[in-house]
Amino acid sequence: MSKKNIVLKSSNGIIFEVEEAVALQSETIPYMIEDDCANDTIPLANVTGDILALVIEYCKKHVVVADGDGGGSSSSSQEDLKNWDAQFMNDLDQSKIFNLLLAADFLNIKTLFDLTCQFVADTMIKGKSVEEVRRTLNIEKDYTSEEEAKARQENEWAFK
Amino acid sequence: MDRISNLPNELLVKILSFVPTKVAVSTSVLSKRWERLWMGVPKLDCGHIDEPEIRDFICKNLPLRAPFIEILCLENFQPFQFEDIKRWVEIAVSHCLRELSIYFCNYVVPELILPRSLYTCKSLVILKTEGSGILVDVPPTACLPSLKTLQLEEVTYSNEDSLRLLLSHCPVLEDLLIRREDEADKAVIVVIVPSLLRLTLRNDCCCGHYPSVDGYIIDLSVMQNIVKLLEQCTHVKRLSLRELCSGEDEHKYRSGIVFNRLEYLKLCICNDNWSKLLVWLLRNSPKLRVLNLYVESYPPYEEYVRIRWKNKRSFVPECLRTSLETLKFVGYIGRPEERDFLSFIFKHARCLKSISIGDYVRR
Repeated sequence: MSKKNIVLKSSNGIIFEVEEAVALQSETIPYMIEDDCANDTIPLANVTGDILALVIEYCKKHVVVADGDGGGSSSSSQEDLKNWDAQFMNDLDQSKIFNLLLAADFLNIKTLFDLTCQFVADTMIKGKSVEEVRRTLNIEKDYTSEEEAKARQENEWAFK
Repeated sequence: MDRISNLPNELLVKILSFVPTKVAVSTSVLSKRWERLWMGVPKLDCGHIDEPEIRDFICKNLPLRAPFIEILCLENFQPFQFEDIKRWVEIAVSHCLRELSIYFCNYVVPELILPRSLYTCKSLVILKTEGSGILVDVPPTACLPSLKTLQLEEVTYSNEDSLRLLLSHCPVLEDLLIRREDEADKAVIVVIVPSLLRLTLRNDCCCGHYPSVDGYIIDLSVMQNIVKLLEQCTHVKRLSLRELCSGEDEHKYRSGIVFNRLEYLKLCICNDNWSKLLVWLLRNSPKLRVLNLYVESYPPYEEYVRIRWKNKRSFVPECLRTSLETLKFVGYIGRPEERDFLSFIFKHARCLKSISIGDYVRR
């Protein structure tokens, strides 16, 4: 039996053709297929080509392949996947990471969404001082010093 | 989109749900926009809650988390906080609690009794408890219709039946971890959970490096692939199995799972593939002494596919040659697969001392 392919089109008009199993890791795409069954191409107005390429790279790596023996198994071991995920995230700059987060949210790919959130939490927030987080995340301090002191006081234990 | 500030609040809240509560709260001073974001995180995971400020923080904040407290993690508390813990669990249960972790490893009397409402929490999906200071006292009205993951590590049970009772109220349970520290020889772990997919049994005994779960009778009654469940239980001495439904998947009987200590096996015959499972168990139980088969009921008769009991000497399971002493077969009605099995046993079992084959007994 030949595998069915699905055609995805990014917001900037780039076409990607992927196997159905790869695309169906998104819980949003099935609805789009149903809604738009006459048209073969699924337009993703919220995702640019470079980000969609990343999403597809992730989904290809994580696709669960039927092994022909009845059961299904992932194409890689859990350990391999974890390492791959870490490398995948490490190679991205902040802008790509935030866009990837938005894309994973829009396409409803839970594992990618969680991976991205976890990465942001671990590398940009956890174990950093308030100043460091501001710098890392490019957050503008709009508190006056008094306001900041007051906010700090409210939950002093969190800063110990 | 090149800055985190361009993300909508709901995504920032999601990110904050991936850090401990303390870190999330500390983001309140980043900027005005962040001041209250952490309050939207439906999770409380505060670490050392025996510190007075943290207790005050939880008392103040827990009731405000409307409408959801999805995740509540309570650890490092003291006996004098039992009333707090109970109240917090109750509040969380009334806020659609999805995941509860309680770690309380002190030995104390009396133990922490969890509120009854927890045992009827409809939204609870994950329950992790650890510590002998936690008393599992299951009320008769218990019902956990959504619970999929249950971890009971070294908890104290109010009586021997508590575990069975608790499990009987978890209709969709998939993942079960039980760790016990008590006298293994006396305990019977009855796991009648048709929906179960993964079972882990541990017994961390201080003497010897093998877990001493071996004394347990593991009584498993499941709907799923029983072989997969047994992977985590290969060190048991006594097994009682009831596979309610057997798939046709030949590959499930894989090699490499060896029950090196199994001496007693009771197998309920309640589906057509019982003989395949039995062949697999015999091959992988080199020390088996007692085999107890009982027919519960046969499904409507389907054509019997003759199983190869492999008569070549090299394929005779080791236990038949060296250890199997007792065979009991209750409910024998002379079906072809039953006859094939018995003739194989009679031909190859060298150590049999006691054989009892009885008629179908209406149970």
